[in-house]
Amino acid sequence: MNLRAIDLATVAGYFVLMAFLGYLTRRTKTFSEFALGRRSIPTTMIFASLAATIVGPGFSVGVTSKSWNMGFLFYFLVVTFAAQTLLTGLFFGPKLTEERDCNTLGDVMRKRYGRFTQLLTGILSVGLCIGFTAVMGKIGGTILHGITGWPMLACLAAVTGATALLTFTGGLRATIATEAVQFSLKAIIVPTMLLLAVSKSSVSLHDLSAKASTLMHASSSSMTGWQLFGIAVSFALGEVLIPPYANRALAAKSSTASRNGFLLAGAFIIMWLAIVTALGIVAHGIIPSDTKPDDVFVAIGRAVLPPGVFGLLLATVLAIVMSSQESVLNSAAVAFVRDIVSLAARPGERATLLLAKGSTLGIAAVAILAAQFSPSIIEGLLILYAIWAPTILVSLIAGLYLREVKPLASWLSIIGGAAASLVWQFAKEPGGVPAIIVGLSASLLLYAIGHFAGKTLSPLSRSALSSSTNNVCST
Amino acid sequence: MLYLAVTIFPIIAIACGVVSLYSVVRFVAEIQRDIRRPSDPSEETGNPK
Repeated sequence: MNLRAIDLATVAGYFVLMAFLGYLTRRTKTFSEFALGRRSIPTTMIFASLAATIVGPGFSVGVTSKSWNMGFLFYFLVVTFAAQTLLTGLFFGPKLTEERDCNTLGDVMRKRYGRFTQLLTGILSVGLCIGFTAVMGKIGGTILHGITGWPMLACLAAVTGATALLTFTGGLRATIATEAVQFSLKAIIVPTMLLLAVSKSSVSLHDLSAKASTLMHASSSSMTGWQLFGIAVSFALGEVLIPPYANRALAAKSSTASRNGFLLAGAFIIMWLAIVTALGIVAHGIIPSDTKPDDVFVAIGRAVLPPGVFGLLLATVLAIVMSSQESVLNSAAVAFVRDIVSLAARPGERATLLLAKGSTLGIAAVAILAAQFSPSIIEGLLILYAIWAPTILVSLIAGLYLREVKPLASWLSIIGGAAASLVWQFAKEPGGVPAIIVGLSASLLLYAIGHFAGKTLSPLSRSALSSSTNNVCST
Repeated sequence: MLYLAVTIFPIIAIACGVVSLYSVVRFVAEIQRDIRRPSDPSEETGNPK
């Protein structure tokens, strides 16, 4: 990618701004502050940070590349994600915010089901977060490789390493502050690019609309009903309360801040997805028709943005990657310390904080290595979705709403759901039925069996679990 | 849908970005106040006063 000096300077300026922000928000004194930022995050910051995390490479570059060939079809499939965010805001988010003595989803699961379920939740949380960091890092690395020509491994290390350095010093509040700046950058630059693209398009809006309609009908007739349903369900359920979103709910200063933050983020995502979809459609009047779908997003920017501002778009794309990685890395480190290490050892407050910071760097290193084997963005996300929802979702929601729960139900549901989903994926999804649906059904069925066959925790163990949560989290 | 996506939505999104920038300035100022505040030793050790 040949870049002008002014564009390179803009990208460099972005990294300097991020480093300055990291410096301003650098200090954390306790693990609880690192994990949940004193539980004092207001609505606007919950909204901006959630929206920044949600708008990753998949929901920007990925959606634009799909709409280039599919028109608005992919929009109607992925907008189920926004519906899920709105429902989370109405029901699950505020419910989690009420758990004032918990730092992680694992803590919430331990209060309901015991320590083994917390361990399972911790392992899944850390594994999922490494997967997300790797998938996002690969996109960022590929972009940086295109800009600089550096070796791919160096580019992967530069993007994920820079994100880890920003995250490990200041914890959640630093993450949220940098994410909010990154959110502003993308919320201003990408819509501006769309408005410029519309004004410079050689094709009228009426003709583009007809083109979008043709593309949508052609692509919908080339897919089976199960395929369409599977993609819609994957986006609707695949990321429900994954660790970074759950952490935002736990860190909100009140249930109202949590509810409003999720609702605003859901409403924003409805508009955002329409904007990036429209970019892929309007692109037909701007760039050559033989452009590769994955290159459409950057190609429009190159065609319509003046020098300097195009550098800002590249910085925005890096911001899109880094903002998703930041919160995922922070959540992974917190889950590793709280849900895995703390079950075997009880380090002091200072040691726990140091361990969390060190884990951020360690998990980033694993993700850099994993990124080399990561598939394309949308495929990578769909694989991760097919693991999270069938394992955690049923037990978590049941735990939040049922008065009486049984540990056996959560064990069967988590382990059985994971096994069913993985086996179905390895069998190449027979009959075109998506793995997430098979895994979720198995998880639900096994939860019901465990619920009727299992025993509740004794009042003594429940009180011990509750007090052990309080001891660690009351800082 | 395309008409909405190229007219009203971009303007609302840009407004959200501007509001978020204003909020982050306030948020960082609050973090700075916290950093400058003299630290309470009990916070760092985890022991109650």
